[in-house]
Amino acid sequence: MIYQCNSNNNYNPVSSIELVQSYEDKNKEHLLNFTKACWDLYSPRLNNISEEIFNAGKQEYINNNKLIVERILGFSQKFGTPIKVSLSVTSDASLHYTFRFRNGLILFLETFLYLNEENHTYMEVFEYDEIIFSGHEKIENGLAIIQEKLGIRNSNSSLYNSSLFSYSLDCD
Amino acid sequence: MTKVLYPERLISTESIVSQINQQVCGECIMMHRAMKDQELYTIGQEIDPEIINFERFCGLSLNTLLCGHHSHSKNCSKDDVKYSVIGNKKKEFVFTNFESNSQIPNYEEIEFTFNPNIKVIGFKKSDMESITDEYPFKKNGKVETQEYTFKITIIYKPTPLNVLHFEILLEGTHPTEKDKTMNFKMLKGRTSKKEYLDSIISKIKNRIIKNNFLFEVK
Repeated sequence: MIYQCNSNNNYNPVSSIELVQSYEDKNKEHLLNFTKACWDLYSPRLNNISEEIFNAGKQEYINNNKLIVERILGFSQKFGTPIKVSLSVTSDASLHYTFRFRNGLILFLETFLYLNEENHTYMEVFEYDEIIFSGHEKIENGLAIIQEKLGIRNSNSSLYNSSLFSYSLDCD
Repeated sequence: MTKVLYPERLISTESIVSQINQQVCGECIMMHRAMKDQELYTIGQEIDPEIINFERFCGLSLNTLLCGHHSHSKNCSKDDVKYSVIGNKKKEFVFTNFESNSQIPNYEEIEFTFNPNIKVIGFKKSDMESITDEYPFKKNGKVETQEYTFKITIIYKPTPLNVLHFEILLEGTHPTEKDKTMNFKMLKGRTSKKEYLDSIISKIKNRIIKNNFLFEVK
């Protein structure tokens, strides 16, 4: 989502905050609905392995999908909202996310499910063919590292983190 | 009623094996039998990593469609992966490497099925073999700081009943109990049983999706 500078003299920062907040909420809702559709469609593959693995996958999805979506929306400050999003659940017991942005930025996040130990997440970020980041990380830590490497302001506060904040600065 | 025979063109002979070995090149297509009802793309319009059986990626079976300019290409068909050998000679015919003409079977002995509904996924040999990178070794939840290198080679592995059969060879340089060197060593077994393979398999999936080089062979 690209927010245009408002050249109107009647520019009202409060209503702009509300507008951007509304966009962010809609983007978040859209991404949550879309990833849920992916989960619903592909998660039965885990049942082919075992009920335990399916339950482990479901718990992983419940615990982390919202967090991933919220952090990915933080990328919109600099890269816009993702142009393609994909979540696959695979028969080798993993949840595999792909987020493709403009300017050749692509982020992969794959969590391998384990029953006897903690799940493992492996992340990679490319800018065209250049690897920006790769490694085993906890999801929240990994996404924070990636945001830092990409020069994205990281905050859990939606207002502070909103594109409006930089937008308002840009328009001063 | 005439008995349908297994295609003669798929039967290995020393002469044909030698020809195919010489002819296959990086531009040739490798075909993989996709899982039933599997779509190539997710609803997010990215390649679905489920399309390749990554659980069995080490030693994954492939068949080739040789490039049109190779003389043996006329004997390759997209339907070759739709044949399945059955019966009590399956082990001898399917899981044994072809080594000599003494293994050429009697056609009457070959029991097989043909499933026309199998979806066939293809990629250029050189696209898959270009995937190589460093990987961290992770065991019991601990990641070593040193990184190792993995590579993929598609090797020719004719069997008595499939002269066009190839396999994926996945190799890595991390030391093992048997070989402490940093030389390339074959990685074997089911990928989900070995956590150090997580990052390698993830990297392979990511590069396949990023470069979008899989296609449906129709």
